[in-house]
Amino acid sequence: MPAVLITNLPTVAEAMAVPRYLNGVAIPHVLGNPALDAIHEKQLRRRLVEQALALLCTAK
Amino acid sequence: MAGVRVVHYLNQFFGQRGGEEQAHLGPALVEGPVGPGAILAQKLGPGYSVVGTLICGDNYKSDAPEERSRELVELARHLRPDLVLAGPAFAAGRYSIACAAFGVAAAKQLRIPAVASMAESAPGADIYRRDLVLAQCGDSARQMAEALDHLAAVGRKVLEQGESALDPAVDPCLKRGLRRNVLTTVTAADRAVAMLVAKLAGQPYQTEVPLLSAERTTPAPPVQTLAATRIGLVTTGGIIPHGNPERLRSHVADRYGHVPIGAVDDLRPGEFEANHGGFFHGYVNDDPDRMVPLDVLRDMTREGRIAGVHEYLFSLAGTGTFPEVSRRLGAEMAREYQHAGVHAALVTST
Repeated sequence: MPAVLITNLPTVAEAMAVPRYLNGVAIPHVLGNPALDAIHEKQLRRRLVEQALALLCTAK
Repeated sequence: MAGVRVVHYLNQFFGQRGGEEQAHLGPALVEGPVGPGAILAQKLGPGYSVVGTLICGDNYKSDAPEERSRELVELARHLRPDLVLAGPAFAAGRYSIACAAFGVAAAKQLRIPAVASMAESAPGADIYRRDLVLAQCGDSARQMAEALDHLAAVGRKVLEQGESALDPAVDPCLKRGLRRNVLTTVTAADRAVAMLVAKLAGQPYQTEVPLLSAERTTPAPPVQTLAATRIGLVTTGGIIPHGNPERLRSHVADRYGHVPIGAVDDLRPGEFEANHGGFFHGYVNDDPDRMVPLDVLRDMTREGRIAGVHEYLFSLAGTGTFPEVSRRLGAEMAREYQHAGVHAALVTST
């Protein structure tokens, strides 16, 4: 089954030959940004998840 | 050897207390050997006697393997064992971990040799091979006789000649993965060049440090219709319900939690939190959706973009996990997903 990884350590994903991965925001908040207000932060999260789901639908 | 006193550790099943339904059983100390212990005693030979058997339920043990092991060792102390043997656990998850954890505690607290028996593929092997001598056995209880042979042989050797006399190439024990310093007259530079020359000439050579290689797996085919797909959520960020009801470890994971999210629309602070020894939790604890994007996925489900999210979040703390354990856990997750009709996964990591 296809799986996509959202990670802050893309070099590890590369080294481990993970076929579908995406770079997140930062280690303590991979899918968020506390510097943003709640609405913009959720939009950011949504964009990342959309990208991740698009990867799930992509042949590798 | 005159009168070597052996204490044997068994789970509830091999200790003849019952099956999985008795896995919660607390420890019981029985005089003499029980079940396979009787055969183990025979294989150890004259001069060795199994003076007592500690029987403990796999779940009782797995709740807190190290702490419970310490308790169990104290229960057996008055028997004055000279040697502790645990298992054979074959490939059993909780049992192999229980055996190894008990062996480690016994060696430490009683200052005596300890050996646990398990298969190379047992979860306990990955976790404990560096800390404890592990006698080898097959992955099925059908191989009990041979397993007991190996456990007795390794146990005797460790007691009579010491741990350092063991050689996995010769003795039926698992490789330790330990680095040993040895004295040599050939410098590392010379050794490395000699290895390289041999490698280039297509000749055999022996590496001094076997490196972990990531086997390239064939990528799974992509999702065809996202709108019809249920997504499984996995996190290595250690997100758990407040209070850690499953008592998950915050590092060196050996299993994954099943966090119920079926009725959850949004991971709220205070209800969920990070249990992970390797990153600063503040931001994620303020909003756990920053680690597991459940809020967004619920929106997308309502919009019909995806069919839904699996009712359990598979959660573990990724720090210090052994790669072999990760592979095993991933395979387990995939099996659970297949059973549940989940056909794609989103894994989020720190």
